[in-house]
Amino acid sequence: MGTKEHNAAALAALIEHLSVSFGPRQVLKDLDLTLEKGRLYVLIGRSGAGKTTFLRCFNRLNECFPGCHTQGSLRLNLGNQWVDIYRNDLPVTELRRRVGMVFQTPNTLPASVEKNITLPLKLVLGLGKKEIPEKVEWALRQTHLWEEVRDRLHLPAGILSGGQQQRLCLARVLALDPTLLLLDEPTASLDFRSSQKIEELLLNLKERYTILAVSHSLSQARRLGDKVLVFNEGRRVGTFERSELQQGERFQGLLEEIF
Amino acid sequence: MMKTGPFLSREKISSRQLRRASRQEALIRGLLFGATLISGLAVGAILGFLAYFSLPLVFQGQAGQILDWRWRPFQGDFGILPMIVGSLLLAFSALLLAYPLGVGLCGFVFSQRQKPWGRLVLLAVRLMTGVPTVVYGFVSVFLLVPLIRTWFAQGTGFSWLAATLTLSLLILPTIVLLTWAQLEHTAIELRLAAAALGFTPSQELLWILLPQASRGLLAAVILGFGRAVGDTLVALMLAGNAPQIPDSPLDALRTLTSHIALVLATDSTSLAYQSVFASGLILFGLAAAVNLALRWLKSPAW
Amino acid sequence: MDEMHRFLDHGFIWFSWLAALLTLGALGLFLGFLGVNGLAALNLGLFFGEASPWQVIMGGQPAGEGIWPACVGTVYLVVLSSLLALPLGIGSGVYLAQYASPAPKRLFGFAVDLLAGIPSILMGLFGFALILFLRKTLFPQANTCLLLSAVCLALLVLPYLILTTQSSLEGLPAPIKVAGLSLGFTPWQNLVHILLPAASRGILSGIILAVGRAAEDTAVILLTGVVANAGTPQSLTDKYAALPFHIFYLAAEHRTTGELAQAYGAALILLLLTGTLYAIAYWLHATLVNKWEQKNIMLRR
Repeated sequence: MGTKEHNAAALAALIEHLSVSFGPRQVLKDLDLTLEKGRLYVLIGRSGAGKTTFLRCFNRLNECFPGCHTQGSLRLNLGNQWVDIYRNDLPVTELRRRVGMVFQTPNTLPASVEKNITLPLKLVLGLGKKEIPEKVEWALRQTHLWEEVRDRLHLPAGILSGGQQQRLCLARVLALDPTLLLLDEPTASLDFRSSQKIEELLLNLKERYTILAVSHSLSQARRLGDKVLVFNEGRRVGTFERSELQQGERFQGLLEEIF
Repeated sequence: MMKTGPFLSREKISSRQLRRASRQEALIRGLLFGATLISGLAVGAILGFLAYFSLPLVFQGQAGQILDWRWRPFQGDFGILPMIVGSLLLAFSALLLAYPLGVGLCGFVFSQRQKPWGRLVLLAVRLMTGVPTVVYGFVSVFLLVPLIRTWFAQGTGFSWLAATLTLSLLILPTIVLLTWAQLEHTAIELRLAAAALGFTPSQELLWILLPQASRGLLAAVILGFGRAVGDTLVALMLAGNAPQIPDSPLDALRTLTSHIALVLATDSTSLAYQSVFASGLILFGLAAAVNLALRWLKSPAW
Repeated sequence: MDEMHRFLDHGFIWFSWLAALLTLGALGLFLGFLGVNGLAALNLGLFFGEASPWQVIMGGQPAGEGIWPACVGTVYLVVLSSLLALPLGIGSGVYLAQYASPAPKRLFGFAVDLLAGIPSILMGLFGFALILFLRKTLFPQANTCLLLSAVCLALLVLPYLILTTQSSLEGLPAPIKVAGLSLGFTPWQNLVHILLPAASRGILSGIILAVGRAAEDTAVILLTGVVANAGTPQSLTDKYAALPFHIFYLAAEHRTTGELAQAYGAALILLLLTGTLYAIAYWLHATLVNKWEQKNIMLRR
C-alpha cells in the first residue's frame, strides 16, 4: 500500500470489490477501481451494462430503488478526508450534497428558476437570506446561464429550453459546493448546439472537480475524456487514456467485441 | 477564480445541526408510524367489538338459536338465516342485472368514444357515483314502488324487485368504471393489431379486449357484490323488511344490513342484540372474503 | 361460423345501445322526478320554517319545521370527522408511501383494504357497541351523540384518504421522487417541498371524496345518535339532526304533503352538495393526469 498512500492525496476515490444487485439480478460484479482527482472520466458501454448503477453508487442513490443490495467498499476523498460511504462515516444527505448528480433528462423542480437553486441552498446548506443571492448568481455564472436568465429568475423553470434546463441543473449542483460530479448522459436529451455548450462547460469544470460522466456517444468520449472506462455486463473491461483513444487498435477491437 | 465557491460551505452545517436534523427525522417518522398504527388497529378494534358482543352466544350455547329460519322476537325466535339468504339473494340479483348492463355500457362507451354521446354517457356514469344512496332510495320509494304496485297489481310494491332495480342502478357505476379503466389501459399495440386485421370496434371489443381484461371484469363482479351486500339504505327503504325468504320477486325480504338497523332502532331483548352482532360478524366475514378474493385475483398466480 | 359471428356482433351493438339508453333513461327519470319536485320546494321556508332566517342563525331561535338544523348538523359532522380523519389518513398514506419497509407495508396495506371493504352499517354498529361497552365500564352516562358519529364517520372515510394519498405519492414519476434526494434533501424535506406539492391534486381529490362520503352517509349516523327532531347541536355530546337521515325519516314517516315536499327539497340539496363535491374531485383528478402526461411528452422531446 506504500506508493498508494504516498499518492493518496491525489486520488478522488478508491473502489474495492464493489458489487450491486437488485433482487436476484446482479448489475455490478466485483469492481475495483481507482479514480484520480481533477480528471474527467467517461464511462461507455451498451445499455444495461451497469454504467448508471455504477454512477449511482457514489451518491448511494441506488438505495432509493427497491431490492438494492451493495457489497464492497467505496471510499471517497472529500476535503482531504477519506470517507467510506457505505459504512455510514457520513450522513447520506451530506454525502449527496458533496457528490452532485445531473440526470439524463433535466429534472428541474416545478418552481421558479431561482427557487431551483435557493431551495437546496436553504435546506441542505442552511444558508441564510443574505448569503443566498450571491451564491445563486455565482452558480448561474459558472454554467454561463446568468446572462440568459437574469431577468427571468422568477419565471417557472419549465419555460427554459432543454439545454438551459440542463445547465440549470448543473448550476444547482455546483451551488452546493461538491467535490465529485456525476453526470448521467448529460447531453442525451439535447440538441447539437446545447450539447456543445455543455461539453465546453465540462472541460472547464474538470479542473476544479473530479467528473464522472456516462456517455452514449463514442465521439463524445473521445472529445471529453481524460480516461475512458468501458463497461460490459457489470464489469469494467477496459481503461483507455486519452492518447490511446485516437488510433488505438486495442480500443477499436474492444469496441467491436462489445457493441 | 477560486477553487470552490466564495463561501466555505463545507463546515457550514455543524454536526450539531446534522444531529438535530436526524432527530427531527426520527420524530416525524415516529409520528407517521403512530398514525398508521392507529389506522391499522381500527380494523382490529371493529372486529374485536363485534366478536366480544357475539361471544355470549357461543358461551351460553345459543348459537344454534341464531342459526334458525324464523325471526319472531316476541315469540322467542331469533333466527337470522332468512336475513342471510335475503342479503345473498338481493346482492346476486342486483349483480345479475347490473353486470350485463355494465358490460353493455362499456361496449357503448368504447365503440362511441370518438363521438360526443359516448363521452357524455361516460360522464353521466361518473356523476352517478355522486348521487347519495339515500337519494336513490328516496326517489325509488316515490317513483318505482308505486309503479310496481300498479303494474303488477299485487302487494305493496316494497319488494325484492324494487330493491333489486335500485341496487343495480347503485352498483352500475362501480362495474362500468372499473371495467372501463381496464379497457383504457389495454396496450395500444393490441388495438392497432386488431384494427390492422380489419376488426370493427365491437369485434375488437368482444373478441380481443374483453377476454384480455377478464381479470378486471372478475374484479368488477367481486367489487360490485361487495358493494351490494354491504348496502343498507336501499334494502331498508325498498325491500319490505319482512324476515322471510321471498317466494317471488314481488315478495318482501330483509337483509343482514337492514336487520341490524331495524333491531337497534327498537328496544329489544339481549338475545336480539346478540343476533345483531352475529349478523355483523357474518357481514364482516363476507367483506373479508370479498377482499381476499380481490387480492387473490391481483396475485401473479392468476 | 361467419353468420354466427356477424349475428353476435350486431347483437352486441344493439345490446350496447340498449344498455346506454336504458341507463340514461332511468337516470333521467330519477333526476327529473327529483328535480321537478325538489325545485318546487326550494324556498327559505324549506330551511327555516316559519321563523326568520336571521333570527335562527344568529339568535338561536328554533327553525320550526325547517331543515336548517339538519344542514348545520351535516356540516358539523363533516367538519368534525375531517378533523379526525385528515391527519390520520394523510399521515398514514405518507408513511406507507415513503417510510414503510416492505413487510409492515403489506400488513398495514391489508388492514387498510379490509377497513375499506367494511360496510358502513358495521361502522355504526361499532359505535353502538362502543357506547354499550363504555356504559358497562367507565361512563355509565355514555350515550350516542355527535362526537361518536364523527368518530365512526372518520373511520369510514379513513381508507379513502390513506389510499389516495398513498397512490398519489407512489404514482409520481421517478425523476421527481429522486431529484430532491440526489441534492441531499432529507426524506422529510423531500416530502414537504417536492413530493407533497407535486401530489397535492391527487390528495386533494381524495379529501373531497372523503368529505362527500361523510356528508351523504346514513347508515353510520342511524346507529350513533342522529334524531329526526333536534335543534342545532350545542355540544359534542348532543343528539343532532342531519340531512340524509332527515330525508330517510320523512320518506317513511311523513304525515303531510308539506313534509313530503320538504323531503324532496332536502334530497335535492343533498344531491347538489355531494354531486358538486364529486364533480370537483373528478375534475382535479382529470387535470392531474393531463399535467403529468404533458410533462412526459415534453421530456421525451
